[in-house]
Amino acid sequence: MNNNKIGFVESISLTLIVIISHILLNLPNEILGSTASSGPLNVIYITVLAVIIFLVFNKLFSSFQGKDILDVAEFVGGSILKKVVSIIYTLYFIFTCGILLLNFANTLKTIYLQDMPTSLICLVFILIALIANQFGFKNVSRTNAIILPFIVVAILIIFFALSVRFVPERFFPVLGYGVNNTFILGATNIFAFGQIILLFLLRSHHKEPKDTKKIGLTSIILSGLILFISVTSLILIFPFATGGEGILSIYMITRSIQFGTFFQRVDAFFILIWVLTFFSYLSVIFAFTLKITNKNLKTQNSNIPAFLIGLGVFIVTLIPQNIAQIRFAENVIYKYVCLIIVFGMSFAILLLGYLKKNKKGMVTIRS
Amino acid sequence: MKFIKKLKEFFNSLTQNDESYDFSISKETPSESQPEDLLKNQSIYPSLDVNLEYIKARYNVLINSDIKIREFMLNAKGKQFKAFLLYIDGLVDTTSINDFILNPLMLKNFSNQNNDPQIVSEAITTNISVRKVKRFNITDYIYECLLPQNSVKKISSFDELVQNVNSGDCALFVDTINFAFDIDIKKFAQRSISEPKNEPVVRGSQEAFVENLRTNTSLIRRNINNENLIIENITIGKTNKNNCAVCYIKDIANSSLISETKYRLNNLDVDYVLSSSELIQLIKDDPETTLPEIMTTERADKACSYLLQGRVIIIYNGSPYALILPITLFDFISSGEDVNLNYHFANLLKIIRGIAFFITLLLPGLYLAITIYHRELLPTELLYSIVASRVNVPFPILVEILIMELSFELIREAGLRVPSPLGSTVGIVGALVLGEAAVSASIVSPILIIIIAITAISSFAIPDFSLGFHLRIARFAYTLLGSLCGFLGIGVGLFIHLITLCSLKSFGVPYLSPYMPKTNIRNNSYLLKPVWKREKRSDFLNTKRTTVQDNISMKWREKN
Repeated sequence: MNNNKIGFVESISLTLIVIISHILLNLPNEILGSTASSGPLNVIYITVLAVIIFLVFNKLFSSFQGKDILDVAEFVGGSILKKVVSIIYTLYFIFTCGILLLNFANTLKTIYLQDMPTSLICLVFILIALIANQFGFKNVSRTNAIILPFIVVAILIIFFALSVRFVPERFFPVLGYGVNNTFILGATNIFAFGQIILLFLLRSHHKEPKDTKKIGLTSIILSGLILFISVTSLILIFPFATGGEGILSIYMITRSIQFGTFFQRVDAFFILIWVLTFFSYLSVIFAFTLKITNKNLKTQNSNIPAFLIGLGVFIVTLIPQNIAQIRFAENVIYKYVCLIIVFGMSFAILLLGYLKKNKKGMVTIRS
Repeated sequence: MKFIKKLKEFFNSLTQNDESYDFSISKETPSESQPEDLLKNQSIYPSLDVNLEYIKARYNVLINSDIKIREFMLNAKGKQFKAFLLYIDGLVDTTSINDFILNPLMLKNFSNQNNDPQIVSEAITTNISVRKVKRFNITDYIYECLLPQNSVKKISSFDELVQNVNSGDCALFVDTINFAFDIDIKKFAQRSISEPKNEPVVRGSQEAFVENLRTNTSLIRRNINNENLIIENITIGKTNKNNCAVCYIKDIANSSLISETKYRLNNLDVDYVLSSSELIQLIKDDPETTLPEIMTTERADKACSYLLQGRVIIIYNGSPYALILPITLFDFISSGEDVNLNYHFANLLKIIRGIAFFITLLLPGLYLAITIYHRELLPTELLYSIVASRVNVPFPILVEILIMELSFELIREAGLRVPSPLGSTVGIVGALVLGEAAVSASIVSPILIIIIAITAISSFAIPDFSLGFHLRIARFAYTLLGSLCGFLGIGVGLFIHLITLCSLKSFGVPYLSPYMPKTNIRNNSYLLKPVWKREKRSDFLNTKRTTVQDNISMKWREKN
């Protein structure tokens, strides 16, 4: 029996935690920036799109039961394509991870760790992710599944605690910057679901392969719901022109929560939750990157690859020189890289794999 | 002249080295084969004299004061045989030896003098009588007619015999017989069954385990009236061969769990194991972790309730604690009292204990994190009062907390170690030092006293001693992390703690079961269900019988 098989709850939580980490940073702000008051509508739209895309991907995967996207790449183009795809995914994860981590570390520094260098904060996160990965993929996924409910509850608390201060008029105009920005250009906001790539890498680890579809749909719908709650909370509290003042948008709205007289400001409690979320996120991404590397190198000793991944992420965190560069990397580079790799390259590999498999099947039937 | 002589002696004593008595243990050179090793793995000889010499050598009878060898002439069917008894004074019932061993073996009564063949059966017809007689055999005769004891075994190996004699049996050697009779006549002074001292309950059984293995197994037998309750003995240790009993209910407990338990116990290559705590360290899954992976209890009823759930109990001879395995984290926060209470009350207590768990673990760390880094959490008035109370305190908050924690740990340790009449004195001195005096002397702030006191009281609400220890150690780590980088530090601690908990297993059962990995929580959640709804056994135990009771256990409620 493979000890790395994980159950339904763990699988969903792996995908959710990664998407939620993006939500905690500037994802809602980014969506509102491009759609304005039609943000909630846009979220519903991209969630539906994500569901459709997932179903298409799932259909293409139907011929490859129990295989992940790397196996499909190997089937399509042999070990060379598999290696190329693995390297692209690894670099994609390292880049995403590094940029998000730097953003979060900067935020922590701004909020309360003014005396601590950002690189040291990043190093703490990377070290913890490396330590976590020593416990293995299964334990990382279980830890995530424990942390996830706290995060979801925290987001719900934010929503309900702020509901008394919501200004419903801010929903209007419903179409924000217009139909084009909401539905045509707004479709590119599907990058918010870029981390569904994990679902394609996770396929070989499901305890029950038949649950794959259920896991994928549940993850996307729950992620969409959390994103909707976040975007709605944000837009009903702040005028969209204000945005999040360049800091964690969700953190900014927690500062508006007033809870009795005992707590002056409860936002600090949420920092603890966000910190846990980021530890989870990093350990999950490290675990996946390690999995890709190990599969590629066919090695069992994961210490050196893990160290190299950590080093790679740390180097990425050192590249941007200022907040503007981080924003650019996160909002522009990440967005388009995500669209190309997750929805472009992965789709092409799956389509080719599907066609090749069906062609082989036809030849077999004829012969 | 005498004066000069004395003066000489005085000066000599100044120059000479001090040759006071000095003893040090010299180093022994271990030989390849010890003389004791030559005596091992021997079978009993047919010659009594050889056996006698062997026993004298093996038991060092010349210097051992409590080893008793009683030589005598055994009378059987008018014949006499040389024999001797071997036992350890203080471990056996001497009255039984006199009345029920030596008396029948030595005394010449009529039937024993009669040399007629032993009649097994007899058939009498009108003029013919047919008798089936048994040929005289000394071993059978002694076993069947001369030893009126309930437990007599024939043993041909010296090793096995010596082990039994060491545990209180008496050995009978008879000339020309190449085995010995092992007679169980154990009797020694032991503590009687008393109330549990460390796990008191208000409404529940008041019987606690004692040091004697057989008494403890009898307590379990008395509580579980089922022939499928198996109590297997396993010997542990090479120098000190001590017994432990592995108890389980055959048709409930998982077979692989039983096998794994026995496998671990049978594969301990140690000279001796002194206590059940040492045994725990030798058989637990992860020996490095400070988290307990096996539960100990002195309560017989608690051990029995776990047996009925499908777990395995180990009782180690000489220890008044039974080991329960496998175990999960949530079992450690449950108390034996819970099942004796109405489920509403039990759940209230369980919730309080859960809160106590987090307070014990996190409160000092959170206090540090909030007061150093996250002051915005506190209302301004409270923040002012905290700052005002610390005005005269010269130390940073971390040092303040460490001083108080250390003082508290010292008082706790001293309270445990001093004789009980002095315990209250230590408590009073501690309370004065920790409370009034430390605040008056401006060593610590009054708010900190409250924090430490709440933490201490919460730690006492944790039912398990070992888990309490773990929380104490972890609390120091959280305190340091909280002072280093506030909630980020606490987050680091929590994440590492969580992943450690997820990775732990107790005899194959994940430590956070049934929540992670998620199994059927409906029937075995942390909070108790009403008695009539506890229908299934814990899912993670994979028991042979999963159902405890029918869907409708209260049949009397059903209408006919």
